[in-house]
Amino acid sequence: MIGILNLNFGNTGSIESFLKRNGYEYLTVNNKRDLQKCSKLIFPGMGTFKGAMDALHESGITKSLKKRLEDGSLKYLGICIGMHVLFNKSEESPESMGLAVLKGNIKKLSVGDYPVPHIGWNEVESLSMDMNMISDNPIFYFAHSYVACPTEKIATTGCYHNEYFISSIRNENIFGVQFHPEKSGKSGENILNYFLAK
Amino acid sequence: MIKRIIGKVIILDGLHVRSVGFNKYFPIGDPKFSIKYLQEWGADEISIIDISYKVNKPAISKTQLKSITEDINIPITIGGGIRSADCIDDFFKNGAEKIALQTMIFEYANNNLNEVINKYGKQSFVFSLDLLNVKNQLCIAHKDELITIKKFVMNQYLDYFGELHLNFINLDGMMLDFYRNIDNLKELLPECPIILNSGYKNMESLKNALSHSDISGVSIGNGLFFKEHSIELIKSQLAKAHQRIRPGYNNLYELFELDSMDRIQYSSKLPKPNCNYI
Repeated sequence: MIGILNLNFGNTGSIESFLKRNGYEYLTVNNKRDLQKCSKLIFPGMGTFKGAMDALHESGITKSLKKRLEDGSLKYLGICIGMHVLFNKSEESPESMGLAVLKGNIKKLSVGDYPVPHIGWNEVESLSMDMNMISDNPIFYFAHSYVACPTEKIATTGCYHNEYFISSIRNENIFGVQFHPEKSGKSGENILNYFLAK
Repeated sequence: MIKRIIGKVIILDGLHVRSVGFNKYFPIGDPKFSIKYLQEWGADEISIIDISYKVNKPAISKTQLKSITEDINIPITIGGGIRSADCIDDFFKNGAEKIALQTMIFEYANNNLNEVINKYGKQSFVFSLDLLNVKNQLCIAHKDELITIKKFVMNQYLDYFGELHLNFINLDGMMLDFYRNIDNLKELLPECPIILNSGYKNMESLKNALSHSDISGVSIGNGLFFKEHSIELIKSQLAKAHQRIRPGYNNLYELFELDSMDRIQYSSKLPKPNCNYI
């Protein structure tokens, strides 16, 4: 079963609409019991690092989610903040600890005098992912001020005013994207279908 | 950075309308269909502005928003009458990617906007700023007050939004050209994406507006509904002018506009029918 993490937080509506349009059965997850029923989980993006971690702790699923991510029994797609929470810490909320499933931290996007947040459509470039398989037109919608700085498992990069950043990561059962596939037209839908079909 | 063409949909009493100066309105139809068309024609984003809101409450409900957005896979910004954290929660849960605020930002000291920003991050909020030209002076309109842009202190609001939409009220629906003196606004403009709203006249006006380095995109309302595939037509022209844009869905063939002289020229090249019409 596909689960959508619904912690009274973030844009779950767009992911739900995508799943309905494409005939996927899904479950909204906000507790440990529902999480156990899922083989795949989508954490929709939107929000701050602290907001996301607080919501995870309040739902009581932090430990079981971390355990299932580490033992590989749960395939996970983290969108934007859903990817950030996989790391140790974030400059956005230094007082909050992340799930620490992946090595690295979240840092503020810094591009000199250019505007941050980075909002809008941008291309991504593949490092280890066969982007041709999933999108002929790898342009996606971004809305973020912070970026993941992993030490490994980088799948794609993006570039904003000559500053390269990590736009997706792939580590066995874990897939994280900085962009919003649910808001990226057909390119984004291809990514979601790719994750759900795997 | 890829420049954005945003489809603006003004909603009055549940109906998508053409607006002229925000005082004359002509019905277009069900916003659900208008938005679907904009997406199919290659819009990069949709901006929904609900102008029928009641005091401190948007007229559009979360159910209506869900119904409008369920077939949409591009970002949607919604604004108009949003004054509470509950309303913001509801709209985010039901398909909005960004929320456009004006009054709530102006009155941040008296509401719980801080908490909301800490929850969602400022990239999820747009400062929708109404600008009026009064006696050749550009003013910011808030409630019954007009503040000249020179007296307006933008810095106090910077923590509450990630994108700025400049709404030139006098230009709405007039096809007069986008506001050109962007450099005059330098002190007003923060370091965040800036969208020009209202003023689409023709391709030249659009190319000029997008050529400014501070401008991330334009929001167009009426101009997109005079012909089908309007955004594809616009984008094909921009691509020819070497502007970085996101290709539309149907860019498998080249679209071109015909003016009246072209029509005569093309029709003269068509094969003559082999019978005489009476």
